[in-house]
Amino acid sequence: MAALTYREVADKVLRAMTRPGPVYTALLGLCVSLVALGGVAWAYQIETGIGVSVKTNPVGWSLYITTFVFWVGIAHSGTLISAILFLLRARWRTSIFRSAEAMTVIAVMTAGLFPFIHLGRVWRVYYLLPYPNQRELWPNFKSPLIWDVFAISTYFTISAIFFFIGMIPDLAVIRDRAKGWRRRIYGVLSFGWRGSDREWQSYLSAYVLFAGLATPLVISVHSVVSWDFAMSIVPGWHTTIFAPYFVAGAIHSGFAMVLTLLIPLRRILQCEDLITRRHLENMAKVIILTGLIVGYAYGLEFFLAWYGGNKAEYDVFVYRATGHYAVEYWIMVTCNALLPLAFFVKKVRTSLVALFVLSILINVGMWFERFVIIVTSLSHEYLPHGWGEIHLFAAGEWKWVDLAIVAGSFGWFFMWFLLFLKTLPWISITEVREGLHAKAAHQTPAGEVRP
Amino acid sequence: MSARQRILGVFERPADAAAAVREVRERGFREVEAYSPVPVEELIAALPGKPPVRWFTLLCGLGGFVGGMALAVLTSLIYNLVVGGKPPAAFVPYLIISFESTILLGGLGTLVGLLIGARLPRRKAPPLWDARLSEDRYGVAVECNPEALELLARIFAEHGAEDVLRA
Repeated sequence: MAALTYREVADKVLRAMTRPGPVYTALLGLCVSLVALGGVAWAYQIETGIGVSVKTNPVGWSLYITTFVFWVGIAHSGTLISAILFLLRARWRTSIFRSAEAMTVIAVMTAGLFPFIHLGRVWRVYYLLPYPNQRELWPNFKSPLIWDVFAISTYFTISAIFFFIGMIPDLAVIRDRAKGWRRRIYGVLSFGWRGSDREWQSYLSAYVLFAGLATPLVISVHSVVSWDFAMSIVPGWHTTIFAPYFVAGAIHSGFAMVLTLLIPLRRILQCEDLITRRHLENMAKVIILTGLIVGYAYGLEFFLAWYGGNKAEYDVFVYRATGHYAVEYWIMVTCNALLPLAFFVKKVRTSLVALFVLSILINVGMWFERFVIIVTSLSHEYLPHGWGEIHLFAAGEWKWVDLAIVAGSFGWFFMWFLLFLKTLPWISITEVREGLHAKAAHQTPAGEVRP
Repeated sequence: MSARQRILGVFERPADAAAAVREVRERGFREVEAYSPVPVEELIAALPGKPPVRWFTLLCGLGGFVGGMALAVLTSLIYNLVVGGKPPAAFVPYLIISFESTILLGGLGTLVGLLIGARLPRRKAPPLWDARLSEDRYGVAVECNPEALELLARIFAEHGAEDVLRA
C-alpha cells in the first residue's frame, strides 16, 4: 500500500464505476427478477388477503418479522465499523467502512419494507406515525412497536446522512474527474465541496459528532427491536438478556455479511491491496467474539428457563431443542455458535474460501435464530390447546407467498448494493489517502511528506 | 482603494503549504484559505476559526429530547387513560422515544451545522481553484491588494510552490 499515490488510490477505487460487464448485468438482472417476484407475491397478498401468508393463529409473527429482524441485524455492522471503530481509532476500518455503511443503509431499506408487508392492510400504515388528526388519536408511546418505529426511522435517517456526509469529499473527486452530465450530477451531490480549511474543520467536527451520536443509536436499535419481544409475557421472549443478546447477534450477522460481500468484490475489482487479508482476519476475530456471546446467550436462556422455575418458559426451551422446529434450532446453534469457533484456528480465518463459506453459513444461522425465537415461542405458549405450528405445505398447497417475498428481499438488497457499486465510491478515497498521508508523515521527518 | 485580487500557490507537500500559510499570516494577510485533498492537521491549525457544528448538535439534541418527551406526555394526557398498567405520563417508557428523537434531531442539527460552518452548498468553485487540489496537491489562496501580489508569489516560491496562479 505504501507504493500507492493519491491518484492511484482514486484510480483503483473508481475502477468499480466503469461501464458494467456481462456478469454484473446478469447479476443485476437476477436481482431485479427476484424483486419482481417478491412484488408480485406482495400484490397477490394485498389483493387476496393476509391469509395467503403462512402466518396464522397462533403464529401471528412468522417469516416476515423473522426477515425484518434479520435485515435490521445485518444493518448493524456498518455503523459499528464506521462509528465505533472510528471513535476507537481502529485504522483498519478505513478501506471497509464505506461498503459496510452502504450495506447498512440498504439493509435498513430492506428491513423497513417488512412491517408494511406484514400488515394486512398496508394502506393504514400511517397509523403508526404520530400525526395530528381530528379525533386527537395518537400512538401508544408505551408500546415497544412504536419505539421500534422511532428507532428504525431514526437509524435509517442518521446512518444515511452519516454515509452521505462521509462521501462528500470523494464525490468531489469524482466530479473533478467526470465530464458532461455526470460532472453536473456529482457536482450537486458533492455540495460544491472544494476541500478548503473551513470545510475540513466543519467536516471533521461533524464527523466526530455523528460517530458519537451513531454509537449509542446502533446499540439502541437492536435493543429496541429485542424489546418488541421481551416486553411481552410470551415464554421464551420475556427476558432481560434479550437486548445484549440481540445486539451481539446483529453484529455477528452484520460482519458475516460484510465478509460475504467483500471477499468476492476485492478480487473482482482488484483491490486486494486495499482490503487486505488482515482486514478479513480482523472481522473474523470480531465474529469469534460475537459468536461466543451468542453461544453464551443460547446456553444462558436454558439455564434461566430451568433456574427461573417457570414451567411454561422451561417447556418452550425443551420444545425448541427437541420439538417440531428442532432442525431449525440445531442449524442455528451449529452455524452461529459452533462453526465460528473454527476462526480460532489461524489457518481457517486466513483462508478466503473458509471465510466466505462460514460467513454465508453464519447468515443462514442468524436467519434461523430469528425464526426460532419468533416462531417457536408463539407455537408453544401457555395453553396447550393454543399450541400450533406453521406449515409451508398445508391442505394440499404450498404457501409460496412468504418465500417469494423473502427471496425478493434478498434480490432488493443485492440490487441496491450492485447499483451502489456503479454509482458511488465503494471505498473511501479520502480516508485511504489520509492513511497514506499519516504513514508518510510518520515515516519521514517533517517537511519531507510526500503524497 | 484598488480592487482586491487573488493569488493561489499550489504545493506538492502539505508541510510546505502549511509553512506558507504561517508566513503569510505572520505578514498580516487575513484573507487566507487553504485547500487540500485530505484533512491536514498542520494546515488547519495554521488558520483561525472554530467550527460552530457542536452548538447545532447540542441545541438540536436537547430540543429533540424535550420535544420527544413532550410529544409522548402531552398526547397521552389528551385521553388520560391507564394503558398497560402505567400512568398516562409514564416517563420511563417515554425515555426511549425521547432518546431516539434526541439522536434524530441532534443528527439533523449536525448536518445543518456542517453546511452552515462549511458554507455549503456552493454553486461555483472559488476563483482560481484547480482540480489538482482534489487529487494530490495542496493550495494556499490569499486575497490581497494588487501591490502585494509580487510579495506573495515570492513567499509561495520560497516555500517550494509548484505553481502560482493569479486572477
